[in-house]
Amino acid sequence: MTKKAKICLIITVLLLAVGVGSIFALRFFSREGHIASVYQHGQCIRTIDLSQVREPFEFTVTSDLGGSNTIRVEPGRIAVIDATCPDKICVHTGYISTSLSPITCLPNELVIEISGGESTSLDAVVQ
Amino acid sequence: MKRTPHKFSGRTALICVLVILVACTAFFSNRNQQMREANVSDVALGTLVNVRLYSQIPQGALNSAANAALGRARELEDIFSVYSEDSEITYVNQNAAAGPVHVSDDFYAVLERSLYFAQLTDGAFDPTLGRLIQLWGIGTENARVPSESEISPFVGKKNYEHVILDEEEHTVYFENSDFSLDLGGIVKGYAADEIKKLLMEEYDIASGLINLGGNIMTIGSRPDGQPWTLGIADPKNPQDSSQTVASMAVTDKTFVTSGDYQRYFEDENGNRYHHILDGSTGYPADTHLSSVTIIGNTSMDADALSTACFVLGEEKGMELLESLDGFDGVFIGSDGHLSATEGVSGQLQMTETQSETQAEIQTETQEE
Repeated sequence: MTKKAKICLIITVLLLAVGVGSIFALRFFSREGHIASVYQHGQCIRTIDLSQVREPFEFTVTSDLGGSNTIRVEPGRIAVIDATCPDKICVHTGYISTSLSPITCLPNELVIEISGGESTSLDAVVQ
Repeated sequence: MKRTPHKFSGRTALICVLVILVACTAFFSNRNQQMREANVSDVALGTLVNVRLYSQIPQGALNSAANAALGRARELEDIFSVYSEDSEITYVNQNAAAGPVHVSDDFYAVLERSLYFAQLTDGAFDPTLGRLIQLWGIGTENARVPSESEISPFVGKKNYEHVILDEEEHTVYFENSDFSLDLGGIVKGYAADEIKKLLMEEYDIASGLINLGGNIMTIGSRPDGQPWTLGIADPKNPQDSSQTVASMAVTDKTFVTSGDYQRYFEDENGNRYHHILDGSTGYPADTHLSSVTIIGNTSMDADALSTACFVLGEEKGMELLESLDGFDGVFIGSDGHLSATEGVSGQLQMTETQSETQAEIQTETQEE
């Protein structure tokens, strides 16, 4: 009886250890990548894992409203490098690499946001 | 206690298992009460509005709160958009010179405060520059440098002295028809205050960040109880969050920046014209500043003051802020130098790469 209880206890403890360990492991490995999401007219039309980008590439997004934005993706960062909009605020924004400052093109209803990636010590950037 | 094997009775084992189970239950139920986050964005008031909320209330309720915040921003856009034919401000601009026009509470509150700051700053903040702003068209496809003869009718007019408010009747009247209102320099600040009020009073939110195109309002402190750390963008690399010039830890404060680096256009000779117009010259303010950040409790006031300080320049802007209660400022010159009012200079954390050019502030920071 005593021996049985001991074995029971050891098995229970082991099972719990494995369980708790796997919860932490899952949490660790399921951490978000460094993802740039391109939204147009409020819909996400493309996501790019910036940590997986090796060679820079460019693509152009054409808006239903007629305008277009040319987006350049480099390892770890993304920018709008050309646009038909009158204010060019999206181009002036330059490259972004963190979640703190998205790129916005109001005339073409385009937003590029980044999630995950290296955490900075800042909660927000005032511009 | 003897550690001999036979002391492990069935009862001991049972107790051990129970203790572990209770611990696990506590662990998981604690997880159910963990901080939840709602993070929503939408375009409103001519900018990207982002609302991040943290609370232990159910996710559904938290999402409702965040969406209500965006709804309030859209509501204000419908009142204050000078680009919309149907907005209240367009109606006022078209009719207030003919006779007093009855306006909404939101409109009255913002205009009243605008006129207060126009008087206080002797027109450095001027809500009656609508026509001049239209003439320059900065941020639109019609952006151009107007001729002297086009600008001169709008120079030094102080038309804010000709806007008559009637508090009892809640009306607005223009004493002449030579101007129109543009409240773009203050309405984002009002929106931040209103959204914060809505979230705290109606939804009991005690932790959050409201970001209207780079103007930040904080609610309480971070979900972990620490103060929020806000960075001030480097005008030369405004989006690069690793290049902020300084940061500061705050709770329940607003940061509003006016800068020359985002809304601008360049003429064929490469001259840059930014969007902050000086009513006394009719041209973009030229005060050797790249940005002014105002730190305070109310975003509407901070918004008006950031514009006013940008137009006044560093010296007069500093004087203005020091004369007021509860507002501080961080000025970044076009040459990159940084200066701050006394209230915050000790709390600003300079980014290392900036420190060489900012010896003055640096010494104050080191005293911490």
